[in-house]
Amino acid sequence: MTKAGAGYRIHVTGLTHDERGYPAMNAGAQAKLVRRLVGKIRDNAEQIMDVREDGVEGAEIVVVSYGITSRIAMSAVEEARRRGVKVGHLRLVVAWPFPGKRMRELAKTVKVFIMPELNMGQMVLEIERAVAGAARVVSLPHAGGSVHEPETILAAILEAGR
Amino acid sequence: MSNDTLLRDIDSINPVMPYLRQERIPHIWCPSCGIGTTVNCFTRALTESGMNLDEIAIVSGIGCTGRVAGYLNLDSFHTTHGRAIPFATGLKLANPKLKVVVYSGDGDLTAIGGNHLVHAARRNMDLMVICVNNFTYGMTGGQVAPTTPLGAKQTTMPFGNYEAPFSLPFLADACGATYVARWTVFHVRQLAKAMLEGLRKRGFVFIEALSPCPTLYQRRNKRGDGVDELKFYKENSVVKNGADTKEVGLTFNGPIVVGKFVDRERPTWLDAMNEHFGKVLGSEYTPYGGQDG
Repeated sequence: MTKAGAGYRIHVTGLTHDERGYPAMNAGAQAKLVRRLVGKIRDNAEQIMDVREDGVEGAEIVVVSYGITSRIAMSAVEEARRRGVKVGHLRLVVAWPFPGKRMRELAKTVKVFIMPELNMGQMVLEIERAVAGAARVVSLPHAGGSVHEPETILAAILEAGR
Repeated sequence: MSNDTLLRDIDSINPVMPYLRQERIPHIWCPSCGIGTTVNCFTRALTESGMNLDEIAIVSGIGCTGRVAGYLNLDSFHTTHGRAIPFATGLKLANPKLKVVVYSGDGDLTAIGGNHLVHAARRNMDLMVICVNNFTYGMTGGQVAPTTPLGAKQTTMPFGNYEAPFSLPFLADACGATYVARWTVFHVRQLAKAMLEGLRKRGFVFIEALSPCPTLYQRRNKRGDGVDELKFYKENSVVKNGADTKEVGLTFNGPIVVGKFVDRERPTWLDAMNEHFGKVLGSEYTPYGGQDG
């Protein structure tokens, strides 16, 4: 894309626009624009996704986390391993696009996914949608004001391992 | 022969035409709206300035005046609501060679983008801000604005406005603008001259252009159409160059003080940054932006 000052006399708008960059406020232009923008994400999802896996292969329990909760999940996973539980950790560095395909693969061997998150349970719905009943999904919501205690996540791991 | 001359006259183009994106015409503005008049003044200022038009960028926000960027044949950016000034700040700092003009309405610049306005003025960001003030939100149906005079009716103030309005020149002055002027769309030569001075000024320039909104503000307040408002401007404007901006507040039907109120020098944000780091870091520091800072 050209830069301002290059002599091109570019026009850019934040509104729904056509190929020239001019506002085009109609359903046809909107459909074209939105499909193109969504396509940019969908077609490049593999490149955008960033999932860090730690010991998920062969694990029957996997904690899935994103954001600040990941650090707490990490310490809970380490403590559970010290206690002999085979638990994996899947950290979403990029929350969206969601790695549904990878979840479905893991659901062949994983029995329980545990999803701690700093809300009343949102991303857990994506796991449920992806694994579609092939594994149990445990939601660990937190209303905020602080972050999860490692013990809470640890307790959920130990409970799942029983 | 005489017929040929006549035809040549008809073929001649309006001097404003080269500045407009012809494929975007007709514009969206209502008959007797004043925004187009300000655009005409701006193009006259561009011509007079002799500046390279490739090095001028125009940034608008949202609203009727926000559409100006879409009609001018310059590098032009129609940004999100209230964000013209921060966008323009980024553009200027990324390429200090550009002369960046912000062209938007009173609602966009002083309500939704009010915080950006005061801080860009405080920092003396090298931008020229043209604020077309029609005392209302035209595009969305005539809601009360931060500029609506006391007593004026709006769709959201059907019994008259009881909120004290901003006096925009006072606000810009108090925040540190280096050039502050107010004209109406009746004062086309003065407005064009202010825009020319603004283009040549370094630092934060604020030009308020009062304009009728015949569809909403005029009609709801029974002020006639745009021409009636021009007559009002003509009969009620008082030119007071150098007036104390504390004294130029507007009332519903009172006199309109117009003129160039502020013209001073202050280091721009880039000047201040370069000077500061030059002092602190000495020869280790390479000034950014050169003479254009």
